[in-house]
Amino acid sequence: MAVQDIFNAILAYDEATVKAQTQAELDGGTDIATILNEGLIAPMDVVGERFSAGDLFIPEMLKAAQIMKMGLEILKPHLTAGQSQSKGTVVIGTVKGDLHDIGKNLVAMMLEGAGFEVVDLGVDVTSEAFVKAATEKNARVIGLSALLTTTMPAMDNTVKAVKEAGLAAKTIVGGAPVTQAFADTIGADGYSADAAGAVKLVKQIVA
Amino acid sequence: MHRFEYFTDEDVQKIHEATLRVLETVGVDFGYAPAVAVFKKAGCKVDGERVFLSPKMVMEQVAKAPSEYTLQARNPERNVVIGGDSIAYIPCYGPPFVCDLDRGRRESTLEDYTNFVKLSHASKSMDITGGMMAEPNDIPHARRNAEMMYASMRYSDKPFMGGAIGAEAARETIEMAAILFGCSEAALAEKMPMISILCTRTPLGYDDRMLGAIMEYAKTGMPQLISSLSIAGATSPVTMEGTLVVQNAEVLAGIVLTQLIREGTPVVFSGSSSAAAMRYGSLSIGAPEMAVNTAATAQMARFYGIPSRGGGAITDSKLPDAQAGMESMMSQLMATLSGVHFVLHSAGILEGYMAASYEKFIIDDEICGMCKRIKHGEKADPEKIALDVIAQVGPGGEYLTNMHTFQNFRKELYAPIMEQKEPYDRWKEKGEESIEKVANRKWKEILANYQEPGMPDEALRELEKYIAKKYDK
Repeated sequence: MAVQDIFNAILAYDEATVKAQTQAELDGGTDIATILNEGLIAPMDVVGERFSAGDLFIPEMLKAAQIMKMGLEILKPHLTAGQSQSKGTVVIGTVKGDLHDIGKNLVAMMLEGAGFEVVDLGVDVTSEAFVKAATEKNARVIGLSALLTTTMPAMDNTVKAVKEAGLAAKTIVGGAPVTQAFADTIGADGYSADAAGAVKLVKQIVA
Repeated sequence: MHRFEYFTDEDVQKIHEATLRVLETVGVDFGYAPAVAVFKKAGCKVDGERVFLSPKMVMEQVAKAPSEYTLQARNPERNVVIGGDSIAYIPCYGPPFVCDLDRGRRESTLEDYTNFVKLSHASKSMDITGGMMAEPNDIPHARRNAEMMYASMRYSDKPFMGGAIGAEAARETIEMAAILFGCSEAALAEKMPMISILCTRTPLGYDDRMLGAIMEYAKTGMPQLISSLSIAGATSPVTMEGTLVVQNAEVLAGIVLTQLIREGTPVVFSGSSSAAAMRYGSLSIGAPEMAVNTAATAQMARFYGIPSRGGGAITDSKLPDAQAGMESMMSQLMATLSGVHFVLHSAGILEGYMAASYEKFIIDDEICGMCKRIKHGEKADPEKIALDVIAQVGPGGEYLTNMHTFQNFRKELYAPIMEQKEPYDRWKEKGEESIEKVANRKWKEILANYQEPGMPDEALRELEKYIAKKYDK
C-alpha cells in the first residue's frame, strides 16, 4: 500500500520518495484525505512522539516537517475548503529592538510542522506591525520572542497594544531571559521555556 | 608550561584562508550606517549594509592591533597585562538571574551586582571585576550602566568592564572613567582602566547598538573584546572547523573596523562559540565542543598576533552541582592550557549564562586558583629538582620536616580556599558539609569582612553628581 510508503519515507527523511509517491497517489486517484492524514500527518505524530522520548533531535524533526510540507504543497491545490483548513494562524516575531531570531524561527518551523499556518514577521517588529498582521490574518495566537533583557519591555508594549486593539488573539512569549512570572506581569496569555513547549501551548490555546 | 595546541599549523592556515574567502565573497552585515561609511571610505566594496573585505585590507588592519597592553587599575598593584604569557580571569557577565542556597533563584538587583563586585575584589584569582555580573533589574534601564559603573569603580580598585549597550553606554563609561581618574579622555587612552565586550550578531553580522559602542570605544582608544558566540549547528556550521571560520570572519571584520577608526586601538580576539543542544535547538555552553573552540580561538588569535578571549567556568547546570563542577573545570582549564589571555565568565555562571550563583562564584574561584597554579608552571633548575635534598633524605626518610619543604611549600602547593581535605571522621564531626554548603558560608564570610578600598572623596562625589545630574529628575 503506497500511502504507507509516504508515511515511511517521511520517517526516513526521503524527500524524493515523499514527493514522487504523493504525486503518484494523487494521480492514481487515492482519496486525498487518506493521503493527507495517513501519509503526511500520521508520520509527524510519530516524529513528535520520538522527539518527546528523546530518540530524535531538533534537526531530524525539522527535516521531517520540511519534507511533510513538500508533500502538502503537492496536495494543496486539490484540497477542499474543509481539508485545507489549517489548525489556525499564528503571527510570530522578535520584538522591537531585538534582532535575534533563531529561537523564534525554531518555534515557527515547529508550529508549521504541527499543522499551523505561521506568519513570520521577522525581527525588530513593532507592536503596530504585530497588531496589523494579526488583524489581517485573523490570527488565533501572537508569539513574541526576545533574547535581550533590554528588549523585554517591548513585549509588554506589544501585549498592551494587542489588548487595546481588542483582538481575540492570545499572546504568548518566550526567549532565554523570559519567565512565567514575567509573562504574568505583562498579562501575556502564555509562556513556554522551549520550542516544543510552545507548540503544546499553541495547541492548548486553539483547542 | 607548554601550551596546548589543538589544531595543526596547517589546519590553522586552512581556516585562515577560508575566513578570508568568506570576508571577501560572502561579506558581513553592519547594521549601522556610520560603520558602513567607515568601510566605504576605506575603499571596501559595500552593498547596502553588507561589507566585503579584501584579504589585503584584513591583514593590513589586523596587523595594527597591539599584541600586548596593560590595563591600569586605580591601584597600580592591580594593573593587568592583556597578552603575552599573562592570563586574566574575569567573573560572570550578563545573567539576569541570581541564586543562592538561602533565597533560591530570583531576578538580580543592584545589590547582587555590588556583592559580586565585592566578591571579585576580595578574590585572589579574579584580576578584573566584571561588567554586568548580575543585571540590576531593580534599576530603570536607562540608569543601569551608570549604577553598575559606579559600583565597579567604588567597591574595587581592580580594572573593570565598561558598558556595552549602545554608543551612549560607551560614552557614559568613558566619561565616568575620566572623572574617576580626574583626567582627560585623551589621557584615559594611556591608562586604559577598563575593557568592554562587544558582540557580533552571528552569523556574520553586527547590530546598531554594538557598533555604536565599538565605534565610541575605538574613537577614544579604549580596549575592547570583539566577540563572537556562534552556535555550532544553529547559527554556524555544525562542524568545529566551519564554526571557527564564521567566528573568525566576524571577529576579524570587527577588528578591522576598530583599526580603521583608530589605528592601534587595543582589542581582544574573542571567541565563545559552542554547540547547539540538539534536543532544544538552544545554546549549550557546558559542551566539549566549547572547549575545542576555546583552544582553537587561542590558536587563531596567536596566528594574528592579538590577545585572545575564550573559555570560562561555564555550565548548563541549574545548580552548583557535579555537572557544574565538571563542565566549569573543563572550560576553565582548557582556556588556561591553550594560552587564552582573557577568560571571561571565570566565576559564577550557571544555566548557560542565565544565572549567577553566589555559591558557584566561590567554587569557581577555587577552580580558578587551581588553574592559575597549573598556569604558573615549573622550572627544572637545581633548586626545584632538589637532587641534594633527595640524597640527604635518602630511601625511607621523610620530607615534612625538611628545610626545603618548609621554605617552599607555600609557593609550590596550592592552598584551597575551601578546605575539604580532612579525613572522613573529621569531616563528619564538622557537620558533613557538601562543597556548596561550604561555599555558602564562605561568600557570606567574605561579604561580612569586606573592606572598601579607599578612594578620593572628591572623585566619589563627582561620580555621584554626574549620575544625579543625568538621571535624577
